[in-house]
Amino acid sequence: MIGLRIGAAELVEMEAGAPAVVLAPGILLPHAPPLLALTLKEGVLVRPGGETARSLPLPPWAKLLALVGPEAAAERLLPLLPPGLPVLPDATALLGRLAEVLREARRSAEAAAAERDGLKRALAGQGAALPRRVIALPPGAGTEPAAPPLTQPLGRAAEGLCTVELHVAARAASGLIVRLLAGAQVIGLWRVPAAALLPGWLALDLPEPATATEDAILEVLAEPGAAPPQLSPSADHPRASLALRAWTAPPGWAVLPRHFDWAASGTPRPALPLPLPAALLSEAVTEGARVELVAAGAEPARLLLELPPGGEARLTLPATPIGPADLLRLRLVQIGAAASPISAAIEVTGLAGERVASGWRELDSSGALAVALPLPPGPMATLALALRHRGSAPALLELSGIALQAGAAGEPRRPPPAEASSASRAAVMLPGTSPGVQPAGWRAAPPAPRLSAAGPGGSPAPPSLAAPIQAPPGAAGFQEVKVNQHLVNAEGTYSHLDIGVAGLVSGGGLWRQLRLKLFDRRGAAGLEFREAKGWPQMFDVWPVGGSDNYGPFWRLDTEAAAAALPALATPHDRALIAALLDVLPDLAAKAAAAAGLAGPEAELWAARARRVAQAVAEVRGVRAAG
Amino acid sequence: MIAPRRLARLLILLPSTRFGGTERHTAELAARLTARTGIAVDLAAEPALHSGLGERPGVTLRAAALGWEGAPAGQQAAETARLLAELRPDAAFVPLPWPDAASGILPALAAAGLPRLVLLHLAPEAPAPEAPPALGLERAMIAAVSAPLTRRAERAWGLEPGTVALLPNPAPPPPVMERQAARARLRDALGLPPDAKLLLFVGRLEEAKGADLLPDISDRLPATLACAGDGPLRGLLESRAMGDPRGLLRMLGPVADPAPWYLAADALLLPSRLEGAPLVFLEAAAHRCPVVATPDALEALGEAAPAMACLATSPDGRGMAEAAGAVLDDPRRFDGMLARAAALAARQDWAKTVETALGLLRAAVLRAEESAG
Repeated sequence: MIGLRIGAAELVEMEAGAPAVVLAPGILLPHAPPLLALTLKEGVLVRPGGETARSLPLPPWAKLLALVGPEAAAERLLPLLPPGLPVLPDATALLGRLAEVLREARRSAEAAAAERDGLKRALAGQGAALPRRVIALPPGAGTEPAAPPLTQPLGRAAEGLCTVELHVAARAASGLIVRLLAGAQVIGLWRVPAAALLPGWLALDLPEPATATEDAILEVLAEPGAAPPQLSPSADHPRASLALRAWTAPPGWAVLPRHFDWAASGTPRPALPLPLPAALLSEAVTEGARVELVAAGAEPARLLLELPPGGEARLTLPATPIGPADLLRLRLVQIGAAASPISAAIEVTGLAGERVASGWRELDSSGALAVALPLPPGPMATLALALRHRGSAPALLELSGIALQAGAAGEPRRPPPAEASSASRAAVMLPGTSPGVQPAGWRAAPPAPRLSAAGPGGSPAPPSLAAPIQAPPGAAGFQEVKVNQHLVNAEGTYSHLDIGVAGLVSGGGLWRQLRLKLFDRRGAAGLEFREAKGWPQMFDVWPVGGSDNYGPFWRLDTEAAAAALPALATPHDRALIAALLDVLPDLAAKAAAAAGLAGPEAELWAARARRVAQAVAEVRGVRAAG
Repeated sequence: MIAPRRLARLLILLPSTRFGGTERHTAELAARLTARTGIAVDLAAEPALHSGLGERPGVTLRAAALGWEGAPAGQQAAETARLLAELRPDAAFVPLPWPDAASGILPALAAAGLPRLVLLHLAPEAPAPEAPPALGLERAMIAAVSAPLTRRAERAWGLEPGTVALLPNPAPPPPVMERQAARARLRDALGLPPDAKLLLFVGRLEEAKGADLLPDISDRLPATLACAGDGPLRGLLESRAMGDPRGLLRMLGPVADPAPWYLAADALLLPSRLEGAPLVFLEAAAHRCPVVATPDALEALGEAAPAMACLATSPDGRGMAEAAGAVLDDPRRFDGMLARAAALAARQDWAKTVETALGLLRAAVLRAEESAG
């Protein structure tokens, strides 16, 4: 094969990624771009009938897929071609060869990813990777605040970014949606509820530093509502940038991001344990102990507790989206003098009330305790830590490590999803073409829902309804709602709203199409789902309920919520109902408005929705306590 | 809502007049604290110490008349107040070479209500004072470098048992040098044949370190004894060395990096009468150099001491020489001891010391808060 050359035009195609095969004389292939068919002519690989005048030596990286031709022709051609080239007797074998190449490429991508994750873990083990501030644009004095929608290029590549901070000018009544793009790829999407929009800097973390090399752009939108959030600009002229701070970090840095919409962000599964951020720890509610949150230098802050002698203390963290994590890792260390007799118990509660508890565990003789606890199925979890101190002097304890980890619980290996290509993470619009069912575990991100300031959006459910774990508002949202039917029977004993929902999204998943009936039957309010023509397939496993002339149905109502809930077979299905209940009052109000109802009648539907959510919450509350 | 507190600036007040183990440890810890966390460190000490402490990134040396010997408490307090007003630190760290070395500094820090960590490096075995000194330690985090020292600190300062924490000294990382090359090179530098027996002393040449015993030990052994260090006994020891007809007692003066000496020597002599947590022991252990010591020198190791070093049968020249002779005669007998000591050194690395020190500093914030409430 010494001196093998390729036509310049053909090489350009290979450079663009076209797979290339060599055809023996007499073999023909239909035109099937991007597949590039080549023939050997005067020592030059060219398209059949192509010109050899402009040619270049075949570079080593330009790998040919196969030689297609009968045995006799192959024997003659092979010595002229790169060694090891597979021979296919005819073109029908080409698909098999392509599948083989695809498998090889996937294996090599997996090996590269495993190596990358290993390196990240090694780097993290070297010590704290501290973030570095790369953009600092303070709010300008005497400036008029800017209201979303806003687009703000960061003027740099996304690579290395770990945190972006926006400056909130004043309290707002509606939440904020921020999307960080690298080119067309969504690398982070945050839904910040109004309650979390305090005047001052608002930190938006990525779980791990971004790897995309395209330019970073921030898109800021407001959830629909009365008073949209206001952001501070950096100077007093109309083209001034937003007040902005941005941080980069080396690989090895990681954090569990707040308000992060895992389903809508194209972040790969994190390789490192994600430490809980200071902003979350600062919302810890403590009973029976003094507590401080202290950071040394640029290190993440740690929680410190002082336990009185003979005392019991309890620390509860607010509910947090757990994203792809399946394991909680926690480390307690007694600071100061000799180890005291202290025991600790950790309990994690999922959104549907599932509990995982460690039981009481003693600190060891060096005054340390490390606990790893599997997490209940997502999308949110609440963590509580109970402490007992049986010593006679006050004891100081540090929560020196608290992190969530993905893939630690021995996730079963699944074939990669068909659509797991870079295109699936691009900022494309909903609804997608393949309404594939989400798997129970975590997977590559589905397409990001379209951000729309004008359209109907997921305004948050009031926190009081999201009991028992106080899921923050904005944890779930939906994109579009339409009413198929508003029905009231002649006696007035039954009424329903038949509702279609597009783009329901929460930390636990994304559901492109939903349909449900919100009904009132003699005062009992409920939801009805059907397995019938015209109804989308919403559940991984159909929850078995009743059946009537129209086919199988599953109902969740205020009378028998406790009996209905166990029919939800998978964590993903439970996450669907949890997300739906989160947004149900808002959904009902919008549906009532769309049905032309107003005033008390519309309020009645919102109240029914709240009652359903409340009934489910109570059932979960009973479970959580028992 | 718990408002996060950030320790962005740390002031280290070093009440010392001469450079030794405490000072070396302090400079190294300061550099590592800032390297690990990005915390800005001001290290305040007598100007005479600055050259020994050295320039380190992230650490700003501040001249301050804090020297303990001779400096009245009033002067220390005034200097402390000046530094606090000038530098506005978020927390203070006071390494103590002796329990009463900061009698002016500590009350001034207490009056300012600043989160503070006090670390005791050395203290004598002494009865409890009739009235404990008023140092304002109630809301400070207090630590010492060894278990016996934690008890002495509690006694000297009138604190409840179990209130003083342990911050063990770290050992250097394992050597990267080649042992045989170091042995040959340093013996050659001393004009000795490659197989000559060589003993080593590293430390301040003073009575507390047992340096006065060195001539007697040397006289009793057929081996060269190389002594690295400086101190009040240097002149006396040098004249003894000059007058040594066998030429076996050698004075090296101060040695910047003793690491090659640990590799070259057949044993380290540690004849101290009072030690906190001797760094030289950990350094020797990390370099797999056998240690011959008085029980007092290795008090910090507690019951583990006899398994980690060859202990002198009596705290004098004869006892030390007998123990050293045993090591020189049959070094293989002590392989297990060397391995245990090396394992101990490997467990006590700087990363662990820095982590513990940071935990104590963070806890100091919680401790100091009480004064507000």
